[in-house]
Amino acid sequence: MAYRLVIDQMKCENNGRCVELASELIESGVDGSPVVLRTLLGAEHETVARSAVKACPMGALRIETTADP
Amino acid sequence: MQQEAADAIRLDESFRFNPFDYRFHEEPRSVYRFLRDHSPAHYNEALNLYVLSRYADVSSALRNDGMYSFCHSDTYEILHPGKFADLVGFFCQDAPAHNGRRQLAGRPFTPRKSSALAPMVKYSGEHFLGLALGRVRRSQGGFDFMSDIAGPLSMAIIAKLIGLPEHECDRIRSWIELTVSRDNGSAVVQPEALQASEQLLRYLYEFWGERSRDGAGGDCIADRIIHVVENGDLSKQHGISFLWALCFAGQEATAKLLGNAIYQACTNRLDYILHRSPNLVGEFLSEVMRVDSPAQIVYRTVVEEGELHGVRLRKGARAALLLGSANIDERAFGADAADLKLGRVLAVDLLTFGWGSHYCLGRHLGELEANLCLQQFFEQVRGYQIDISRCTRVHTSTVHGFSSLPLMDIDLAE
Repeated sequence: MAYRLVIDQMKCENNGRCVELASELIESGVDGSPVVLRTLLGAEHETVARSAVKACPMGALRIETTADP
Repeated sequence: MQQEAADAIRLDESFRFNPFDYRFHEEPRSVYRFLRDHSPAHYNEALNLYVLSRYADVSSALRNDGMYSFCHSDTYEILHPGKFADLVGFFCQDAPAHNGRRQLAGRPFTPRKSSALAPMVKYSGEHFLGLALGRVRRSQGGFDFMSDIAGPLSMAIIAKLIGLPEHECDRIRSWIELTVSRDNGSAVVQPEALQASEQLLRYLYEFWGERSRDGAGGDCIADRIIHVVENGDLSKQHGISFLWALCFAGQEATAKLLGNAIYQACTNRLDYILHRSPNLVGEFLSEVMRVDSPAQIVYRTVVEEGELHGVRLRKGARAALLLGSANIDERAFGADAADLKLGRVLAVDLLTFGWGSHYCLGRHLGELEANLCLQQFFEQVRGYQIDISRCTRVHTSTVHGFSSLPLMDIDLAE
């Protein structure tokens, strides 16, 4: 099982909390919008990814599970 | 003092939470504590109002649009029954309809865009502070922090952003204050309040018309929203109601936050410390936003039955989410939760600005204004006292703050 961190840009308002909490997974793009750095996350990223999902006040982040490639 | 004790709210099984009770406005914390400890899913039959006071419950409710809907606005009272019922704020909707409109409206308020407003905010702060402190320097006594600084400063900034003319600011401010004011213990929207609300609406319709006729060529919010409406991406009603909402949030909430901060600094004897160490203003403001935030209560409508702490929540009832209580819940912030403590480390997110799909859009600007204004104030003021006997509070169903906050014995830095 692998994970993808997905940002719903419709809901995102650039509050930046995800970037603060999960800087190794998400960075702030040129216009201030968050950009996911890694397409696939391993188990070692799960805790940080979940904390980023929880921290977003707009609920704009979600984790999708994908079958291993 | 005896009279006060006799008039105090009785906190026992007979207690019913009434957000319009002036005694609650004077001292909310004991009421909050009672509710959290003894009645966490409280119900007031007369108001058909459930009241949630614990951090965990308020936090969940904010994330639960499916059960706690925004469809009837976030105040208890429905402001525009009948005649002006067509003014349904774009925000008076739930996701997903809400999100699209919010995206259109929210662009001026991103963290980046808000930071870029710092020079304008600083300039306005210097102007109003300069006038007030100038009078102090000329030994003309003290001043009223709300009417001389907080009120006009917040209004000037939001007016500039929207594109409203400066000379209308005082009128708009007075309409705002009248609109939200309620009588002691009463949810009734009095004729003066309705009238003021209608006058502001009428003014905004005229203003919209003028700007549209002039081509709306500027980059202020009004012009941008006019174009969004012309492109068919938003209805004119929603455009105007957005401007209306901006006036309230941009003026009411921000001004009351400033006033509460000035009050807290004095009563906690932090004035001199903040003057000496301006780097503490940020931490101080965070704690003010936790223990004395202006937006103490937001309201929802229960649209799906549910159960909380053994109480059945019925459809159609209103629900009061006590943000102010959640933010000082011992269960979330420890035994000293009610104390303002610089440098407090938070284990959970504050609910000052709500959470979820209706999270405060203007939060970054509000925080920027408050931070800059307080920094400017404490740079120039070494110490001050508050003339408590002449303080007056606003009396609304949602906002907690002062309408009058006279300062005296103001000690200015050289």
